[in-house]
Amino acid sequence: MGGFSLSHLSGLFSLSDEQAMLRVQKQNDPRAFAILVHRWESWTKMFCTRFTGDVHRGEDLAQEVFAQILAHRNDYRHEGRFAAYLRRIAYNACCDWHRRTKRFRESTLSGADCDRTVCDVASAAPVLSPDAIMAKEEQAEAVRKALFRLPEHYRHVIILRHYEGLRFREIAELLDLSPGTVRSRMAEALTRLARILKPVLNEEVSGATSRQGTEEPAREENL
Amino acid sequence: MTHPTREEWMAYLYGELDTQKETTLKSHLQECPQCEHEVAAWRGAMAALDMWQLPGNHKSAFRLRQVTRRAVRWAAAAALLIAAGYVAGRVSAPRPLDREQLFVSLKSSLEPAIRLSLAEQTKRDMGLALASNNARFSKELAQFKEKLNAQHRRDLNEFAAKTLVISGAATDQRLRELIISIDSTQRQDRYRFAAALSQIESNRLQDKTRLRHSMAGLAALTATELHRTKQGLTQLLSAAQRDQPDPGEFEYGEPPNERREK
Repeated sequence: MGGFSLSHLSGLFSLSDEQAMLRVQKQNDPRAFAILVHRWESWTKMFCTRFTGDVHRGEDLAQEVFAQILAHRNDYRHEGRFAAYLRRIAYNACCDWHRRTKRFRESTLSGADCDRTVCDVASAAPVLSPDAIMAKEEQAEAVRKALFRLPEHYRHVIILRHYEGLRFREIAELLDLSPGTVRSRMAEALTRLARILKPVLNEEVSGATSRQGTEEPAREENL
Repeated sequence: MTHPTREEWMAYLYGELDTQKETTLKSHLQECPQCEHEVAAWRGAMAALDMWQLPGNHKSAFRLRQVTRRAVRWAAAAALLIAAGYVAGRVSAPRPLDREQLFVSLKSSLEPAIRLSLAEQTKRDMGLALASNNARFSKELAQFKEKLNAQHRRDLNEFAAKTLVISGAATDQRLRELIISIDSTQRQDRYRFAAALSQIESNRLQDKTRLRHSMAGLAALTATELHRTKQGLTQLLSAAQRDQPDPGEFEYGEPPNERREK
């Protein structure tokens, strides 16, 4: 934690994301761009991996996102935060990718390419035995597949709310919808997901659903 | 019994409701098995979603990053504020009474009086010394001034004399040079004049000799011409005598006249 906060303390005295982007825009400063890439590369990769369901595609898309930011640096307006700008670009890149690969999508989803998605169960619960890790990886893969069986507009809401932690209001801004619509889509998405996952994860989920008032029952079960 | 909407349940599940609304929904959940069942299904789905972890994924790296940055900023601001407060407190706080402070206060109260008396004493002593010193000093000053004046006058005279002598010598020298130059000029003029005179003289002599020569030539020419004329006349006379022997007196009267003219 000490190193973590120290790195953030040093960040206080370095360029902010917005200042770095301003330099990229006005002075074509490669160092400022390198700072931005260094700070946001892993987040962008993860974001794109969530949307594509594939680590390698996520990395490719992340590169595309930064290339696009550099190419269209003059489009950046210094009104909001750079992070929100980056999120919008990354989201659009993911949507473009979906559009481009629409006909290949089903085959991608049906293929059991767990090795490519790198389900990081081991790091999430390091005390588990190899068998348990294997079981968790299978569950994770099942979840991933279930998620990708959902229609796109439901899946996007789930990724943005559940994995990216955006508020419904922020998602509504990003998707250009009303917050009410986003919330109802979220409810529908969760309902469908529960229905899909019921036969697969019956024992785990049923244990979780029997409890009340716990925010993250599955996580507790892991511990 | 009115059930909360699905949208409200979503906001509830993701903690985006205000506390009052949240307690309302919570109490409803305990009373309504229908809603409880629905919410349990959603919670199951949410728990399942948590199973798909990516390397390095905290629930949201993005928000965590923003939140920690903001938190660190606030922490830094708070630390600065605390430090400033501490410094201000240290500066403004009254110190406990101790020996050092007593000494300082004593010193501060006594020091001006001591300084004042010391200064007066010094001033008086200085005044006396200055008075006696002053008289001696003014006498010495007057003597020195006189000496300086005399020296100055002497130096001035000497310098004037020297200047005069030097300037006299220089003037003599100049005069001598002037005289010499005038003399030489006069002599040159005289030489030139003499040369011109001798030139004139020689010219005159030359002219004279040339004249004499030409006169002699002329005389010779005249003599020969006269002789020829006499011959011609004699011939003419002889020729005329043959024709007319009469005008003899004319023949002899004429030549003396001619000679006289010449």
